Amino acid sequence: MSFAALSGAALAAIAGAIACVVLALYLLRRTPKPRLVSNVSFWLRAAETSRPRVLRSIRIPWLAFLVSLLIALLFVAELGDPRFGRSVRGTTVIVLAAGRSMGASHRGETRIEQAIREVRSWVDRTTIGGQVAVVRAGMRPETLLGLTEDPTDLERALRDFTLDDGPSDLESALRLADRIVASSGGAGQVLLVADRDVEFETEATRVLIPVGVPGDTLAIVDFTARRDPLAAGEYVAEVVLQSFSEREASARLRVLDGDVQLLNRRLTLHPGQVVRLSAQGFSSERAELEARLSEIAIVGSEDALAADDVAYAVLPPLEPLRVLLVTPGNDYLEAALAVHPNAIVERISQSELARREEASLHAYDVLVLDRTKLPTGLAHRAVLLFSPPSHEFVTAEEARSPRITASMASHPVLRGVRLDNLRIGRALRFEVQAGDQVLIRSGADALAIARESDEGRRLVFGIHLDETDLVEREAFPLLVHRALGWAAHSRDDMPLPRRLGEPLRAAPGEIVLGPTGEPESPSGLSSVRRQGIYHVGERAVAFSGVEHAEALGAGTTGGRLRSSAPLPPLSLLLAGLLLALIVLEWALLHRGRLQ
Amino acid sequence: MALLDSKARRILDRMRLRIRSNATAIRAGGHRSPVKAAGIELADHRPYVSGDDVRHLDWKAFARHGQLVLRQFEEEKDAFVHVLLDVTGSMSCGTPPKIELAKRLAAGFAYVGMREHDRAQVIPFADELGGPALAVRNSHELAALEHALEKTDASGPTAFAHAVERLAARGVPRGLVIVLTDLMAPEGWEPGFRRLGLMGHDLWLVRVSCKDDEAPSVQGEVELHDAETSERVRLRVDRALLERYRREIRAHVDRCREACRRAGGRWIEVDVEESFDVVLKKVFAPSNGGVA
Repeated sequence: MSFAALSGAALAAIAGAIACVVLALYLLRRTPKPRLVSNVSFWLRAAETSRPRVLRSIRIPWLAFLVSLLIALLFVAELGDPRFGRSVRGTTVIVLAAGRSMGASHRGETRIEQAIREVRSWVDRTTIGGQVAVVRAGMRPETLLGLTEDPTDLERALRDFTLDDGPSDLESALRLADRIVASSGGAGQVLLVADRDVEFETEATRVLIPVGVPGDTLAIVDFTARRDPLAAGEYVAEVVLQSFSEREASARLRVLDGDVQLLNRRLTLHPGQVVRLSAQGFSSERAELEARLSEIAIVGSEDALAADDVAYAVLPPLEPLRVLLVTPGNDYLEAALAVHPNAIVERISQSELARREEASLHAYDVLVLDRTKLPTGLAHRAVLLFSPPSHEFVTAEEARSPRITASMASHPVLRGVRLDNLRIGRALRFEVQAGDQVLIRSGADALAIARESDEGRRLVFGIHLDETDLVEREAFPLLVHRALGWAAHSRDDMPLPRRLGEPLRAAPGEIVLGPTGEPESPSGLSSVRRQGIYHVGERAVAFSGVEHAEALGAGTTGGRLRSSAPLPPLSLLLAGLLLALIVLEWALLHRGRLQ
Repeated sequence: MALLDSKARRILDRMRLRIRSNATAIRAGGHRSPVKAAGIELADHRPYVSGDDVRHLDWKAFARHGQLVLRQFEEEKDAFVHVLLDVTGSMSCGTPPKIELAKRLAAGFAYVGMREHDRAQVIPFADELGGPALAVRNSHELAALEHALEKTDASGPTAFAHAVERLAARGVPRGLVIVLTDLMAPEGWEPGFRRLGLMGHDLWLVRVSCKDDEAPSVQGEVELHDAETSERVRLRVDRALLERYRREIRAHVDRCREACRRAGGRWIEVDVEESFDVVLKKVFAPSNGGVA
């Protein structure tokens, strides 16, 4: 509460009213109680002899009255903050913070409710003697209410008011407010109604009207989903929770992919503890994930903010990969290809391949030739060969029971593939040319090479699949998966959730559905403020506010109005001192020290 | 409710007023007279002188000693009992009001006097002395007195010395003067008592006190209304002033007690919060001149 926006006359009127109240209280205090006595002469004699020497009894009440009056006026002055508003009248621009932290609640009331109440009060007062404007300080500041002298305009402006899920940009909002004051031509002031202060100097006098008190919250501080590099076709969802409380907290964490529950666990967090959890082993072509905290219990407190209890992530769909498998028959290879979630495999025999024309092969992304050579005259940009019978790679002799002495683990094909203690019966030895990458080496022999040229990508494995235990290992499907991806140039990047405040681009005419499934207006797509999963055509994009999760402080705890003029609250100290004097006077009176 | 109920009367039936012998009257009554004459109780012998009533000669003594001696008897006389009842405004204070107890005591004195064939009369006083009242000699007169007392209100200022002057001016016969008062006036008591003593009256002072007079419990801003003069005084009462007031009251009562003693009077204190039985026993206690 503050009287800062009131004129001097209004402040004087309030002070006068307070003085009247004090006077009334004083008179009530001085109003005697009637009492019938037998004879007042004895009382008068007693009063004559017990009159104090230093202070006459008649002066004491008056002194007490004056002290009371002075204290009341000092309190009025302190509340009215005479440092602010001196010779500054006219335009008032109220900056209303609309960031996610304004949704924090305390005893059933959110900070934004408190702030809007303050704004209403200030608009009512400031429109009496000037114009008022309200700037919404969300992630991108905007004018919520243009300069007006009609306080009812505010209600219309607040009709669809919602908070952003990201932080408020108070500096930009103050800059905008300062510009509004400057453009109004006269003197003015900027009132910042927020739960924190910022170091930003405005031309106009700036006053902070703080709202909110520090609160406890349990937050999701990170949530990602990605393909599992160690398991073909599977994905992993990782959640990081943090307790922003000095008390022990517990909550239930659920990770959902639509209606499918990936994780449901009850957790207990110590003060400040960070917990990392992951849900894996799920295979899906695409996923739209939601992590949500529920049943939050904080000892002796409550979870103040709901916006940080939810996070979103999207697992983009894999591009379909058309594979032509030419093999005389290999169950292991067929099974490994089947594991690949987006592979569309067509199997043909060697004779069928010979009858194919080159143009027909272009319909496939990858050719997989098992113990088969690519017929002369046919070419393809992505070929994966296992034990080719004769090839330009192959040297004269096969290696018997070779031992793997080196592997290029950094190559995308071998990432996460473990080949240690691999038993190999026979393997082709390849002739290495310039530019070839030897993936598997046994001594000086190259058992697997990757070649990338203008003609395309070739990946050649010399290990006979029917004479090795590689096919029985978990590494084999992953190796095939990696090999297909590398050969076909397929991207396997997992985009992180988008940051709130970033734009969401859509092609002209493309409908964008918001988190609630309602179509979004194009104006709102330039800066996304609400977290959730948006759908642009067939594409899903997750906007999550996890990076903004932080402790719920209040920049100005205690609710005192703070002015940009850094003067100490001297009047408050004086008022306290004089209040102590009143208490002393009261105590002395009742102990009979004074009369 | 009657001033004297049956229980009070039963108590009073056992009581007597012990009046100084020089304050008795001339008619036969229940009190010893200093005159030794035609009584029934032998008091002394004296030699016969010419003119004495020969009926009182002690012939047996003459037979034994050969001297004429006269038997002397104590004569029992009645007494005048003047009950001065304070009906000033201050007597309306207290819980219950002091006047209520005073009126009952006045009736009680009258009842005992009636029973002892004394001529008791109750005379109210404030700044003036009330009209002469008939002496109570029988139950009818006692009932009339009770009726009159019940209609008596307490109001007006205190002028005890003036009231005593008026009493003297009426030429009331010497007797027992019982003053029923709260003494809540700063002046006039000492000359009044002295005058009563000089008039030869046997003086009893029954002080009716109450807590509101002795130790009032009031603090803060008060407006004091004088019950006698309607004067209003505003004061801020604190503990120091209360203590000072109590000292003032104590000093005043002590002065009155001393004046009463110098006038040969008896001092009795009763409190309105005491039961009437206790008050009666206290007033008529042997140490106070009564006989239980």
